[in-house]
Amino acid sequence: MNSIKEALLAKEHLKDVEITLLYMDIRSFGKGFEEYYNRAKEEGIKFVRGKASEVRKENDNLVIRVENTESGQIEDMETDLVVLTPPLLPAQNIGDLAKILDLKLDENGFFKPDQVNVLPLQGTKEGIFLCGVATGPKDIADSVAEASGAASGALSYVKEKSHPSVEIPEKGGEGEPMIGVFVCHCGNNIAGVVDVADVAEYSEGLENVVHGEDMLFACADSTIDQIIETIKEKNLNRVIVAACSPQTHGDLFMDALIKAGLNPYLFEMANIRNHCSWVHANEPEKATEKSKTLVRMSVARTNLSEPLIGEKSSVTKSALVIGGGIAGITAALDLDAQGIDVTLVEKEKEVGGRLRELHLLSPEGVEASKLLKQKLGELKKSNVKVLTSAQVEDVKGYVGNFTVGTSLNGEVVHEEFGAIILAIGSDLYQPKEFGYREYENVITNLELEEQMNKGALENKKVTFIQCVGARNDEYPGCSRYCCETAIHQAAQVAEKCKVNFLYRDVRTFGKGAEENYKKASEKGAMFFRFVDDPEFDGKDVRVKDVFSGMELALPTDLLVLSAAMRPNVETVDKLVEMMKVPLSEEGFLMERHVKLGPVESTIAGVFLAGCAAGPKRIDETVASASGAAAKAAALLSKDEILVSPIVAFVKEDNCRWCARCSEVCPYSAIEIVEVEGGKVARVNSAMCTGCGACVVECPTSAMIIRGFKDEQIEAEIDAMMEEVA
Amino acid sequence: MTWEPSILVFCCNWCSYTGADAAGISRYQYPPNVQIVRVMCSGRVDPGFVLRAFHKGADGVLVTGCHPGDCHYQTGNVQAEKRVEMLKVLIDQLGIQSDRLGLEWISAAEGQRFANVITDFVSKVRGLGPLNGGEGL
Amino acid sequence: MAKRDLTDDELVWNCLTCKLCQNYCPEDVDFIGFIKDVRGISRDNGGKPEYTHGEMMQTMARIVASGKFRQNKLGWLDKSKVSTDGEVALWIGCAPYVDTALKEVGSDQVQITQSAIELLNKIGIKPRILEEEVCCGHDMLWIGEEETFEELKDKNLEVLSESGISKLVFTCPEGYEVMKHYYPNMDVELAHISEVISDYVDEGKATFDPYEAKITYQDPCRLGRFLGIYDQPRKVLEQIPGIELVEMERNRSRSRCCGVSAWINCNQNSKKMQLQRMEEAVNAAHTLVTNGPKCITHFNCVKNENGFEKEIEFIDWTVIVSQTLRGV
Repeated sequence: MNSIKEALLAKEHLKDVEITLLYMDIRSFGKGFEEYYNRAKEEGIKFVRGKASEVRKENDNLVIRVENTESGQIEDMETDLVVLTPPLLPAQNIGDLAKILDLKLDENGFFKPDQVNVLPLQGTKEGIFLCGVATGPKDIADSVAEASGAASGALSYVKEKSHPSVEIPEKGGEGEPMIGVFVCHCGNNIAGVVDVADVAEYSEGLENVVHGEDMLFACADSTIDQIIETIKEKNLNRVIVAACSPQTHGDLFMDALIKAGLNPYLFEMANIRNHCSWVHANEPEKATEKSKTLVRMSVARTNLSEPLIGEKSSVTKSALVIGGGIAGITAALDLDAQGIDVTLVEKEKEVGGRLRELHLLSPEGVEASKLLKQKLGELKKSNVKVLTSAQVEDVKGYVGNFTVGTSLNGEVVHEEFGAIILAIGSDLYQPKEFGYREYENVITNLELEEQMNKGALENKKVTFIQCVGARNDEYPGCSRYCCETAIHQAAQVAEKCKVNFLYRDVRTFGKGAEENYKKASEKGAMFFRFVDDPEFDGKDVRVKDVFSGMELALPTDLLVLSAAMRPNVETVDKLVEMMKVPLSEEGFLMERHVKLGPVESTIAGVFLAGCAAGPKRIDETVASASGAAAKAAALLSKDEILVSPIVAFVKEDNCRWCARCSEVCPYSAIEIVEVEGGKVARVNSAMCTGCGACVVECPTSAMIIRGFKDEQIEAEIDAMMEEVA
Repeated sequence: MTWEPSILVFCCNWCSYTGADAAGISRYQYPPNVQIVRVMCSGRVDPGFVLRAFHKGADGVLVTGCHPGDCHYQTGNVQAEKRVEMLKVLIDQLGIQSDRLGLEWISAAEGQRFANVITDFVSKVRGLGPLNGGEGL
Repeated sequence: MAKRDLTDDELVWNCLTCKLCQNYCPEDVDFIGFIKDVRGISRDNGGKPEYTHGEMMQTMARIVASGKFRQNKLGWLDKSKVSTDGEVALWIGCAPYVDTALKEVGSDQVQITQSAIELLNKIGIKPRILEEEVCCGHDMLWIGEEETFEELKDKNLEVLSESGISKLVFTCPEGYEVMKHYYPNMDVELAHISEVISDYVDEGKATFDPYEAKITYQDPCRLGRFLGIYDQPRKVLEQIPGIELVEMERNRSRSRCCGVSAWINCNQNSKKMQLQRMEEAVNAAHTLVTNGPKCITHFNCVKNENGFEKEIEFIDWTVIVSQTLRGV
């Protein structure tokens, strides 16, 4: 995946460059990765499935000898540059550390989790937790989720918890604005396109800008210290960082202002990376001009900024976990271990979710029923309040103060919670292809688990087909779990049956999965790669094998379809209706940030565990559930939180109590109250979300949104249209 | 120098602004003629802002928000739609082609769509010519 | 003691410029002229009013003043009812814009303009419509935005002199007032529609269909105190059989404003003032006849809002007269 990204970036920087990517399997299994891979193909990057045997130099050129494993041909490829993608290896002195900590390593030299499936973050010694690449190769999103999960594990041992309280300076910005503009190179991300020094210099000529500077990485620790120093040294009372998105980095710089003694709302970001250098990569001059305009707009807005302080709001110290599968159970147990009151709501009669339907779990063959029993036992011993046959009917309120209505035995009970974890799981695709439901001998991989639960298969010809309902036009994403699961199944079935396994790419990236792949081959399972969909007539599977180029007819007694993981539409729809949780393109719940906030939703106080946010394997599900629990616990450890100050307030003199504002408010945060001689609109700032609908609806400029005042937006518009000097 | 349109794009904090960020992350390229003003919700776009932009010389204004039903604030995008409809009539009366004002729904995940929408809108406005060109007295 | 900074002082902007004060001033000080000039000074120093409706109305005037665009505001016009070469023109002004922008408030100003065309047709006049006319500039003048006003005025003077018309008729007293007092050397005769019809009644030719209602009449500030037109509209209403015309407690030169002027500083006081005025109207009659499109828009606004549930009907003078006057 990283290679695809680099190939596409190179292509964007050098339009005419020809790029060939040699691969064995395309393992673009992350969220949105498959779509990215498809785009790379559209952009003209050539993908060749092949092994390189040597690179030699011929007449100043490099020549690679490649075995094209699809055509079977040995080819020589001329190239100007060879980029190698080495594997991720265990850290150099991991062995020493393992000795010191008395931890076991696995056969590849990474730390060994205690139990791959249920305790993926627990080392082989109690009280020591593992995360990220320590246990094996991983991408950023999974590492971040695991890191939160490991923290959750560690916290369950920590009895005394205290929060260093940060006082937010109420003041700053008095007197004439003294604005500092810091323009970020973001390494080459911005500076490779935009003339950042020019932008910094330009900023110094703008109204009330007293300092303009460009810096390599504005978000680096040392640079932030430098910004804080400059604020103090030059008496800056407003700060602009021209860099990336406030969505991802705003908080970081706001913290810097706090450290410098300034109110954080005197900070503004100009997004010259995501909205400029990255999207105008081929027009450096125009991108530089645009960056100047973006900075000019920010300066105009910042000149009108005011220090803002949100109101304090109490926190209800209990959590609600919606969904009682392995994700929900894990999250609930983690929170319970930290002494937090937890309610677990499950719509079915029993908790356990998908685990109830599984037989042996990949990679080690742990019995699912045993695991479930263990978890149910833990649940029983815990203080978790478990509600089964229960459904969440309505959710009101806001971070720290949710009121949730749950229907139980036909009665809706309302209860207060400070945080909500969504562990709603996923659905499996119901195949419409390969004669499923038409031929009795076509089953899904889940139904195979059921059969294996009843007893081993014997003397049959079993064929597996992968990617059923995934990686197609309708649904481009990879379901992640199925290569590993199906191969684990194939290895078991191959003991007493003839197994053929049809796949597009083998994506056995999980711990121990690649080893199972090898094991299945050793037991005689035959693997065939296909590009065009196979066909089944009830007796034979017909497929064109990519490697031999032959049309094969595989006699099949039992056809097993690996069904894609899809969003749990019914539940998702209900959540969207109740809570307005945003969805990603494939219909799963959207994370705050795919990489930096994988277990948080975009709604404050609402967290995501397991497959709710996208397909996951069991260990990933458990890790993300612990991660969500850690995030929820961090919130619930506070006695009070500051509500965002970006809220509406009423300039009462201007109010003619027409009530248009309260009619349009989606959160019923505005009331019309009696005052002497008339009435006036009043805003409940804890309920207000700052959307600004009331401001536009108000005919008399009586409604104002702090931080997004009319004047600020108007100043931006005016500044945009000013000619560049 | 050949004329290039200046276009103001209002993005809502939750969907289209994040969509614009996503376009960046995926490096989807689009013309640099647009400047984004971030508002919390498309329902925050005051008709006065749109008129102001045209008065100041913007060749086009694009209001973007969450898809119907996806608004982070439930109904802000419905409000935005109502106002854009009104504004289209109003600017037409004032002598500004109504095509210079656009409304598009872009989710936080739709980086590609963001780039496509911008590319299309820029080319549409470029086709209309400068604000005071086609429709001038 | 520090000097009072008038730049941001709300008294500068809260004034309705309704001229009621000058009724009582023993020295006849031109207080509202003073306010107008202070507003200009305040604006130069960065002051500004509390704009209503997101500053849309003012921005529209500025867009029109820029002279860059060919307006397209006459889509509703029935061309068979107007002439292209007559000597009498009817001023359209901002009515179509306001209707579009304030549809939700219930603005129906074009209906008043259409009624005026009907009314003029009935007395044998096919009015000219000046397609090139721009905003009269009244509001811009009174909010101290002189540069925009000057641009509008110059453009209108050019349009009027090129048109060859001899008389310009208004439904809105504001355009009439601003042209009469602030457009120099006008050789075009200006008249409010109520003056035109009053003259027609005086000629003895007018007959009316009955209209059963107890009516009270709201004097718009510009039409009454600024232009002294109190009698003509009342006289015409009294000609309509079935109308019982009664006065509110405060009427004619003591009349109270509809609450807002120039689309600025509509606030707590405006509402209270409007509620008081509604109270007076309800005490006197069931129907309030106004004589300015903006007045009726403002009154409709109060009626749509919470805080006033009593029964009262609003109708514009031009509309009621065009409904009842019999054609020749």
